[in-house]
Amino acid sequence: MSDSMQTLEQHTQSDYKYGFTSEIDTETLPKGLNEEVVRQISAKKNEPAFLTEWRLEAFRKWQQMTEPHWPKVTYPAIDYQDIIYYAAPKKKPVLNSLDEADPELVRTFERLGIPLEEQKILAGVAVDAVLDSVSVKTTYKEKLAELGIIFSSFSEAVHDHPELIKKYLGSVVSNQDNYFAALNAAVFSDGSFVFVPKGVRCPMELSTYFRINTANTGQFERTLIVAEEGSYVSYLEGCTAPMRDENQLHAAVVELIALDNAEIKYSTVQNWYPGDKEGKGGIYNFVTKRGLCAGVRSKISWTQVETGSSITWKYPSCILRGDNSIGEFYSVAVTNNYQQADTGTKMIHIGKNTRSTIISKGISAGRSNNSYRGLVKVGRNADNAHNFSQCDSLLMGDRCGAHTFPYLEIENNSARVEHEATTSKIGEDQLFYLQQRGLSEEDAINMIVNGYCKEVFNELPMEFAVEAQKLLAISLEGSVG
Amino acid sequence: MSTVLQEKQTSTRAWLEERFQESASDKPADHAYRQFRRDAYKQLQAMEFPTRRDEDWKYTSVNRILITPFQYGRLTPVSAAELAGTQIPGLDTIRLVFVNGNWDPSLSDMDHLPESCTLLPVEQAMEDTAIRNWIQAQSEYTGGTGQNAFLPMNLALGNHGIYLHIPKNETVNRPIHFIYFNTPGDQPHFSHPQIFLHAEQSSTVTIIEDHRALAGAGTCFTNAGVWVDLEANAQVHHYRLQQQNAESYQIHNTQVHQDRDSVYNSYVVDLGGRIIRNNLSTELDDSNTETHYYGVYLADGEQQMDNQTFIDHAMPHCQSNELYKGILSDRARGVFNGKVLVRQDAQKTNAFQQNSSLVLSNGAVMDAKPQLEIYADDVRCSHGATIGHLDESSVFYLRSRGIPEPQARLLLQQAFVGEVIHNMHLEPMIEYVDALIATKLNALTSVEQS
Repeated sequence: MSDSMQTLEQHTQSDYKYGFTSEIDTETLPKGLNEEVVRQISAKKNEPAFLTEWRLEAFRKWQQMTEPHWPKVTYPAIDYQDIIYYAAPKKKPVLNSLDEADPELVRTFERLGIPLEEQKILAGVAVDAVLDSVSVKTTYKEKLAELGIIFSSFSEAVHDHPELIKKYLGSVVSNQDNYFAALNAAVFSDGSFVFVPKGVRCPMELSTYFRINTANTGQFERTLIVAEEGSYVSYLEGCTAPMRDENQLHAAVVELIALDNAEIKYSTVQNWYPGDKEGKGGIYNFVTKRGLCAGVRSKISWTQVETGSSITWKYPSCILRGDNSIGEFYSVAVTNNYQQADTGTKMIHIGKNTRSTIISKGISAGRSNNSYRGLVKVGRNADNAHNFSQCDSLLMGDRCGAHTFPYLEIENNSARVEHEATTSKIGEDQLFYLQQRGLSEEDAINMIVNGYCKEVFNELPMEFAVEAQKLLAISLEGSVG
Repeated sequence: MSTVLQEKQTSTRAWLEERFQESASDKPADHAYRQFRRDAYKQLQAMEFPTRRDEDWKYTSVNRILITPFQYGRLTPVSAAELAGTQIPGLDTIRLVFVNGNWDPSLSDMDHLPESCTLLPVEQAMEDTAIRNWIQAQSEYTGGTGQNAFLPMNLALGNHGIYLHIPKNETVNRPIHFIYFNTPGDQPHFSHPQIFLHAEQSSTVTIIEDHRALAGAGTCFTNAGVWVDLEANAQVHHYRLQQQNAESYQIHNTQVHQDRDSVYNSYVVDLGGRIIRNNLSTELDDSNTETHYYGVYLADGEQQMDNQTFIDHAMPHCQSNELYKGILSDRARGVFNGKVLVRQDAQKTNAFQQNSSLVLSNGAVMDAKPQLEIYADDVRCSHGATIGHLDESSVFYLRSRGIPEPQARLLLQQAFVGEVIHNMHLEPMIEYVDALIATKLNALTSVEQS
């Protein structure tokens, strides 16, 4: 083993820095899933009848479906009856200020490095913090309300704006879209809802922190963002989760709808517990994310930095239905130890003159496997569609794998589709150059990796870009190729 | 599998069973060849035919082929003029002629095959234990794209396979030209061309597979299997030229093994056929090998052309290079599914893959899936895929130079696929194929204008 390999090993031995459990009393339903559980979840949340029906429909459909196994990931079979489907902080706090919040909860956020008050003042970010499943604190809501923007937890939105929920829920990812989306539709506990009215440009980055807190609780979040004609919104999602030995299932659904001339920017930094060095524990992240460019000249942009989860399986997609609409996908996926990632995107070109860009950067270290799987489909009527895809993989170590599975399905002759992919490692000469300039091997690696990911980080909002770089350094600590 | 599909496969199995029984050779039942075919048939029985639910057959359905109860084709006469039509200008070859799958020694010309080389029907070759063991070993490898029922079907039903052995240090100067004619028959017929090529250490040989149809040949199904084993430092150039008629089907499986320092070049040109499916797999058994895949596909009408390639880099210091280009018009469908696997030990691998397609009409569909699966870190691998139309500014440039638009487009299309053709190592082949392509492109262009 070379020196550099040894440094890599050391580096990858670092422990998960965000692993702890906050002790807040939670009210939970018993383990298991049946129609009664679905009804109870709905009842606990005082949901209108249409939503209860919608959940039940999804549940019945889900029972007939089989779990898909086509991704290049392996994991022990999931016992869906051994999961708690609902857990909520017992005292649902109605807060006017942060002082009223459970001090334990506030401390939790402080340890995560997201003090609410700091963020309120400094960053100008409205944080809708979701601890386990129920929204605890929503800030800046009033300010946004003045502009007509609705930014609230999903359950609040169900009560306050049922007509909007009824209209848009399931319009992009239906309640029987796929196995995990159906499961989510049946049991989703909470999530976020954003509605930006016509012509409004949301003045701040909206953000939500998801944390999986109660042991054995599958987290089933649902996010719905609607941008009306000519509006703009940038949404940030960041995740950290405490240490657990048992795998936790996370099956979220994110739906984005952009009407004429609207633009939605959705950024994710995902750093859930990836399992320990032997690959034990960790989160299963099976997420359905899809955006619909419904109107002309609409634009949806996905940016993701995936460093956590033992298994990541997600394909943020864009359906480019409106003429001249634009879809973008920027991704950095890092896997270490025994992590497995099968991620990518789908760009479905339906409207004329639609454009899409895919930039995917995979980094594999340890004994991990990192796959890019993407589809570019140009329909028969999608004249002048243009796609550019670039998928690069970086291998750090000789026990890991990097794979690319791009699918190009083109049915229109005016389309221009370009795909390229490369696989490489950090060159000895690059390392040598930086080291002889006085950088330590670590710093040199970090610098090269950051340079490699720059294209994607540049797409992230400022605050996230910093966090992403930090995460990357932690995830690859000691990794020298 | 749905019941409808099951029923279809049951009926396919029924007519295959009939064909298998009637094709039993007159050799005694314990003859090695009969045993070999029986084993293959057992294997076939245990396998299911691919459906579009199989990831590797996602874009091509073989149902159309399987529902037709094909018969064996008969050895019918081929006229001297028809035979002369197969001559590649400027290229002297060693010629083997097959008519509807039956070897016709009277039309074949093998005078120039070096005496040290062995060329035998598989049936006869199997009587030698060493050869039998070698053939067994070859046919047992079903890695990569070879995991489909059509390979055992070829082995079980093929009755005119050829075994070709090139001894150590021998260079066969003349290409060996395998000509497969489909001729008119009473009913749809099938054939199972089979080549077992054993290139010993430091030998060099070129084979040309030439699949063609005579006028009125009707619906034919060619289910070909080629096994190539390259020993150390051997060189094999493998051409495959396919000009069947628009009602015919072809499934082609090539399985290649390469030992150290060997070079295998594959040149695939597909012009004819209704449904064409090529499975090309190479396993690199030792280091420092070179593998080149070149492919051209021109499809119009209802043609479907599906190229599946697989390169298994199991050893270090190997190079592979793939270049596939095609032009599609009318309602044609093209598929390219290239997979490169770089195993953990295959350090210092260089693997490149490029697939480009021109889609000329709005009814045509192209599906591409270039895959990389990489487990070694010190490698250089890349793939690229492009799908698009002719660059209008290039067309404009040529027109501004006084070239009429149809010719300008033709020139650009020819140049587009020319990049592949010009990698062929036989000059007369380049010219010959170039002319064939020009003819087909001319037909495409005139259809589009009308």
